[in-house]
Amino acid sequence: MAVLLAENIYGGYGDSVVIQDVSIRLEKGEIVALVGPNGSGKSTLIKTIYGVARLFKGKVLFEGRDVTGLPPEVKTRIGMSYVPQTYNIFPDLTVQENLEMGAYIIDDPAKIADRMELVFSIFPDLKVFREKLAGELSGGQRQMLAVARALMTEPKVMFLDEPTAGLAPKIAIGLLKTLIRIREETNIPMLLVEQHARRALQLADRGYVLVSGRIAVEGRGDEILSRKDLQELFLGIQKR
Amino acid sequence: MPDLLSLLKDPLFIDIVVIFGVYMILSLSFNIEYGFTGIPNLGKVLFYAIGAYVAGVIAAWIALRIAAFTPKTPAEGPAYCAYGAPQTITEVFKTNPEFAIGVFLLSLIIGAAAGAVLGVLASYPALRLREDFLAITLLAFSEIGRLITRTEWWPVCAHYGIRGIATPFAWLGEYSRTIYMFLVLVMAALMYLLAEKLVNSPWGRAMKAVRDDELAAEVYGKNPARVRAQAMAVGSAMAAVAGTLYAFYLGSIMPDDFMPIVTFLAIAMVMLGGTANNRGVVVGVAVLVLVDRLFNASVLERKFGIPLPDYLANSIAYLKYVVIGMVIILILIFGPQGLIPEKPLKTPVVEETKKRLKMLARKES
Amino acid sequence: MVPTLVYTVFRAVLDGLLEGSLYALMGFGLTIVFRVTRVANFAHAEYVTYGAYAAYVAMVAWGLGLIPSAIVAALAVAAVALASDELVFKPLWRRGSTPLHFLVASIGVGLVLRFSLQAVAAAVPGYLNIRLPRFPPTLTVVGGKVAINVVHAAAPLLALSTTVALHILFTKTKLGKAMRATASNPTLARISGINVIMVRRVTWIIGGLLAGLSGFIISYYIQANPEVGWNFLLWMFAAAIAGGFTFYGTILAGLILGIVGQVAIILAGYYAGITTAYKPAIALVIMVLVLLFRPEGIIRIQSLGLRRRA
Repeated sequence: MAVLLAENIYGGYGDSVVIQDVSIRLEKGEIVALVGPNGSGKSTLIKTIYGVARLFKGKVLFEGRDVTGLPPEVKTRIGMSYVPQTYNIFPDLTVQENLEMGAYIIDDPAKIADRMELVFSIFPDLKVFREKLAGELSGGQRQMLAVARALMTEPKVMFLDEPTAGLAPKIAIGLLKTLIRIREETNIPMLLVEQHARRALQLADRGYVLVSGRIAVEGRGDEILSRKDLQELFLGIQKR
Repeated sequence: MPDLLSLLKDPLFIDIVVIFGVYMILSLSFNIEYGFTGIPNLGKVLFYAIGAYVAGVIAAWIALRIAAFTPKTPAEGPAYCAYGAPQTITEVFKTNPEFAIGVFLLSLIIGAAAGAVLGVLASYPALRLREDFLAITLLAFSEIGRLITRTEWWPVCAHYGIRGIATPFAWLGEYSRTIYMFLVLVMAALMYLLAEKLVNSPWGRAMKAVRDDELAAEVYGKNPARVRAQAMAVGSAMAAVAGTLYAFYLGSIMPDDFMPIVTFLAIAMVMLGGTANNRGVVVGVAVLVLVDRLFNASVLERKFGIPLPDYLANSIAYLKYVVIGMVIILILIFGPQGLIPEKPLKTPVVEETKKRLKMLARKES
Repeated sequence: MVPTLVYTVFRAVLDGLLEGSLYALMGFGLTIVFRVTRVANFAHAEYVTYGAYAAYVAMVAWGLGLIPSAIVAALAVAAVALASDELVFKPLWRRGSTPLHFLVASIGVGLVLRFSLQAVAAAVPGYLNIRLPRFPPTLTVVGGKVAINVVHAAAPLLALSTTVALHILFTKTKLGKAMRATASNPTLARISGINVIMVRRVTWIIGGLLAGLSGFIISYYIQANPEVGWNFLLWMFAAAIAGGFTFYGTILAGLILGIVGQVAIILAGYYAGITTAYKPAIALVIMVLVLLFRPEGIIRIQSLGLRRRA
């Protein structure tokens, strides 16, 4: 059974439909890359599934349960987790408080402490800066904190919206490697939106290519990468 | 037509029309600043007061010079604050047509100029502050102004106020206020035309551009600071004109006539009619001026034969502000466009583009 | 022999402390509501007035004691504050209004609250000017001239303990941190599972409680009319703005404003012949200067986390 199943999704903002008839699934322990050119609707798709953007039509199943139309806070409560692309930290709170807010839905302090230890073991930098205001962190540290915050709830699935956006290549690769490590240690399935298609498909198990709000191609990461007709997409993006 | 004549002489009718004209100008000026340029001038009443006080000071001072008035008992402040001065001032208005009309025109010009200068000065914070803090700052300016007029005898007679001013037609006797009423209406119409002309000019488009996206406006070569200062200058000059017209109508200028509630009333009028829409403002002003003047126990009883029970008679004057508050809230929640929504821009280029697009569409099908 | 001026100034400092405590208590409500919901709430002034009247009704009409009347005032105003959010500000927030719309709406709320009270007070004999029928007992008389009464001590204590309580709430409790999180990034707060609607409610209730207590103190120590809160409006905004919308900042700014307001005007009158009518100018000028030249507040306290972002 797929951990997450989104079927025939139509989504967007206000009255404009951006996502048209998109179906995706996420199996246990899988990293799935969602790639595509600028403006193809990658972020909108995630937002629609999570309930931040508007869902016009379609169905979302999480662990077999119908979660269509549930507000984001409820989705988080039942084990989903989401790292937005921008505004993904609380800049006026300290690093530690950001993590505590990530664990808002957990009541047991011992469990929060455990999660925090785990998160600090993955991102040792954050432990050093735990008393610092999140707004004063560097770009790379902010993205780490954003991922760490989303990990605090012990999620059963994670959506990551371009966590490497705006990072220097070295730092971006380091963050992606950390994501693989997180998957190995926790077995959390991840839906990863990436601007950098080649990089994402190399590390992902499977991938979807989104073009103009529709799925153009889907399949195993290496399969998509080897397709000749898609080279332009990867090159076009790599040139940027 | 005895009915029409008696209506034209009816003080309540004159009152409603004059207040309509005055608030018309005041609301149009608020619309230029807020509706079109995005400056929330919560200090509007300050510029209105400037116009009124300039008129009062000039008229009172010149009138007393003409009458060679010296106060019997030395007064605090200028001679026109003294006991007996108001009667003398009124007397000069009644007997000296050249003075009455001349001083009226002079006050309009000087008042408008003073308003414009003050408006440019007050636009300075508009460059540095976020909208909501800017609103509070401008409100604070207007309260500082009122504090000064309440306290200082030079040149505004503090809480006693400047009294004895009459309309520029006082020498005509019976119909002087009726004629003045028409003059105010003509002024309001002129201001309306001026406002329409301004907001439909390239400058009006620059104001909207600054309102909607300052950065983009700057990229396209508009200087937001200058556009704001200009909007404040024009808006404040208009508000001062409204104040001058009001001063000559009312005859006495008191500090507590210039409380923030005047600003709030103008805001409610603009919002009710439709922000960034001058036609809407006319409707908004008409409705709320009627509310303002008819929520009055003695008017209701004497004019319309509707007697109010005691408890309502005492409180109805307050209830009108409850209505005004409700208007502000309901418009914001249910129809921020107001009664008449903002029109899209009309320029030759836009029209031409629309025509070509239509032709293209026809060709394709 | 101590000169009279010393007593006068001492008296002014005492009254300034009391007034400053009130500014701070009112400023806290403004601060907390502004931080969490972005509403620069002009109607906060009216909450204070309602607190004064609620205390009066509780004591005079219902015959309650002093403390129960204070509690009634706080609770009643909390209800009014909550209702104004549920009926006005929350619907506006849902439709994506700007902070300026909130401010204008709060003017509307203020007009409705103030003038409906005016209308009632005009119709009910004895309600245009009220004062609780109990006078604060005198604690001690200094130098045979300056009487210090209970409120002189109670108001600053209340303000200080409220500061500490708010600080603890906002830095040590989960609820308070959730409030700060919501203030800092409302969308992410929702995504983190925080019930932002509940956070909103708590925010308005706290603001209302504090405004109600301020109103109670006013009708106990000074006197109240339907405009009393409105007359404090610019003072409370001055305290909150000069304090940079932080709690320690607001109480410091409030006390400074209170004492400077009282003392400066007495000294200005004594030495320069400036009339006391200019007292409100102090608040206005300080507020405008702070907004123009130091918008992060006079006092920068970042450890609170309630830091103002540019």
